[in-house]
Amino acid sequence: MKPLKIFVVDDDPIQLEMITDHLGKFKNFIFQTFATGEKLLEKIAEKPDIIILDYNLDSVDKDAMEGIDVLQEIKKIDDTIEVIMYSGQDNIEIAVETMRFGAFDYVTKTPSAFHRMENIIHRILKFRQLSSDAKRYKLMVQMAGYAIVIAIALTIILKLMGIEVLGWIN
Amino acid sequence: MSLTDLSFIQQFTGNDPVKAKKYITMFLASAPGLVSKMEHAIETNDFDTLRINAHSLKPLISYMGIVTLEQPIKDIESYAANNTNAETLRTMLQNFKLQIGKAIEELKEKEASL
Repeated sequence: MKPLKIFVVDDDPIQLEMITDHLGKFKNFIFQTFATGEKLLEKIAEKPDIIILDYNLDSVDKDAMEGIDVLQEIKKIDDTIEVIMYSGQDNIEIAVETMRFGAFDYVTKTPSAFHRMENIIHRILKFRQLSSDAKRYKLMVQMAGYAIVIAIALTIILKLMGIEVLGWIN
Repeated sequence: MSLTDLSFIQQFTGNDPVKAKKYITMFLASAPGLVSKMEHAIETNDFDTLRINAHSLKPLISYMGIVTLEQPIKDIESYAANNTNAETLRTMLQNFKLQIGKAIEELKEKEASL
């Protein structure tokens, strides 16, 4: 099974350590951590599956890009990367704003955050599986349609050539 | 009465004393600096820096189980965000500094015992 590549962005080393420590129990997850959104964007070509992104990234460098701007950049570059916003702001308006810009979910920095994050990641995996199944079924239906059309066309051609294949085509 | 409660850290680390110590050490390395920055910010009426540092400290206080400071740090962040009443903020910060100083001392003892 392909490992899940998770990038974590936070300007607080304690948060980075706690997130990777908690989620590190899943052997199939691999992590890269970044102190700023700018550093993350330099590595975005490595195509992470999921990004855990702090909303406020200006505690060390006041001029650093804010999480909401980083989120928009990520979505512009690759809309398939799922982003979980992580913030000390327990504010519904901010949560809605981040979801409007394409975040998959929003987690507040509280002691329960780490379990919530784990659940969200499993939800993302389930969602991806369902999307991939739906795509596969759609493709199968399309292929079946093409096969029927080809079979009918061949039957008609053979019939015109005087070869009887399917009795029901006159 | 204890100012700090390490229940969350113990649960988070699965009662691993090495990991628990790591997080206490990280907190002790980070918190005094954040408080100093907050103090400097209030001296220079830089409410934005005060808000940013209070915001950074807020979750760490919860992780270390310093329950009595959870509301004060939220209030400092909120007052600083609204840029109102520097005098009230100064008083709040003084009280906060006193309490977090005691919590830090307590955590140092707990760190040493692990």
